[in-house]
Amino acid sequence: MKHRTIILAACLLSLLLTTDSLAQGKVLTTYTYNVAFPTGSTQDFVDRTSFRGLSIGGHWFRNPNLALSFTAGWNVFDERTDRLINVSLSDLSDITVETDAEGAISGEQFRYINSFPFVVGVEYYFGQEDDVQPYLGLGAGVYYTIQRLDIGLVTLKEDEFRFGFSQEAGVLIPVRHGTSLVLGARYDHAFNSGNTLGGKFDVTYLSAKIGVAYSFSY
Amino acid sequence: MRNRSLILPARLGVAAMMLGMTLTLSACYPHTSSLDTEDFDTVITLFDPNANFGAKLTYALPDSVIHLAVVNPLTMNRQFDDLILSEVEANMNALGFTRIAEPDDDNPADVYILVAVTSSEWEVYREYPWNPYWGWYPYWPCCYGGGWGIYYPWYPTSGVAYTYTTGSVLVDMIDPVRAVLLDEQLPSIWLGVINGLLDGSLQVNPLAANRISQGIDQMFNQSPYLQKDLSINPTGR
Repeated sequence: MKHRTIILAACLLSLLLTTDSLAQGKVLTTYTYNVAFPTGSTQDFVDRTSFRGLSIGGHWFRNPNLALSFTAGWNVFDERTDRLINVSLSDLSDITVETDAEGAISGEQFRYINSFPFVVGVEYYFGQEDDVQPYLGLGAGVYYTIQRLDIGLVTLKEDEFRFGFSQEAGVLIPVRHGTSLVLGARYDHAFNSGNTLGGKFDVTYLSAKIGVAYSFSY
Repeated sequence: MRNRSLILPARLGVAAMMLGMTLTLSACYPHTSSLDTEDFDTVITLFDPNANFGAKLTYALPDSVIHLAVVNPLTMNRQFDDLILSEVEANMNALGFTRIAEPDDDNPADVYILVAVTSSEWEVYREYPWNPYWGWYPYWPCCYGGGWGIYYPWYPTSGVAYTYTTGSVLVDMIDPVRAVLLDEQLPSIWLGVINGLLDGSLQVNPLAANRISQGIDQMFNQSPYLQKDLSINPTGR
């Protein structure tokens, strides 16, 4: 899936670079509220929908349908749980004494993942401006993630920068000239790049977005 | 093109976005509710995966609890010792182990259980930058003019300090067969630890006994490899 995404992004980018640019430039800014659903290993760590998310974006149109975009966002995943944590001391890099002891930890836990994506991408908008415009987008960039586990009187925390990509599909619904309602779905995938709590895993989630978009011509 | 029918959805979109900003910016680490003292209790168990628990059928348990490095005997006195020992005994019996009351060379136990408690005191200081000098209102206190200040030669900055005490109950399972005679060491093949806050009401709080009891039960609940007979509930409760 990673290779197909890269190939598709390269195709869209080549279209962007070879098509005629607009006589007048157009910029679209988007502001959305996001509800995110953790997937894969992320869901194993925090198994709860995030209702705390937002993103802002700038989209520069090279022609009426193709745009370069930059989006920044923030999603907070949090869960209170008492699930048993199985441990194997041989997997802990901080242990200096060699041991193959195993065990388990139980107690009231608060689990958090804060994800901050900073993604550059390409988007294609079908149809014409001032009409309902479905769109598709691909992006890649940097994700800053903060993972935290509070259990008992102990807090464990890991934060790191990760490379990742996003895929998005949605629709712009014009409300008035220059203003549109944005509805969309987006998949974010931030690859593991270091130590994480609960074993190495990629941070992945699917988001539903609703917000507004304002367009400006220059 | 102006679509009047979509003005309300667009306004809802703005409202949703503002709500999202409010929720998101309100906390990186949101807690949905306040915590009680028992919410800080944790139970940790460790075991040697190379130990043959299936071959261990009998155990010996002393009649006293070891008190290690107790910070404040008022908060970690011996009022719970009998409860701790009875809970460990009940759980071991429920797992299918048989207790040997007087183990000796002719009738040794397969494992020996050692029970201990300990407590620690933690101090936390929160410091704020503070100009140690400030002006006094002229002529107050009497006879000292404006410009006099207060300084603290023994503590250069102000701070807020608080302390909290934690307590632990430790249950150790020793395998005498694997004793290292040369080093005079006895290996532990299983360890259970309860850790939590000791609040000032430990002496009178009836919930404290429940916390200890539930903690010991949880030790054995999360150690299914100790079970002798799978048809028996580990706690028998």
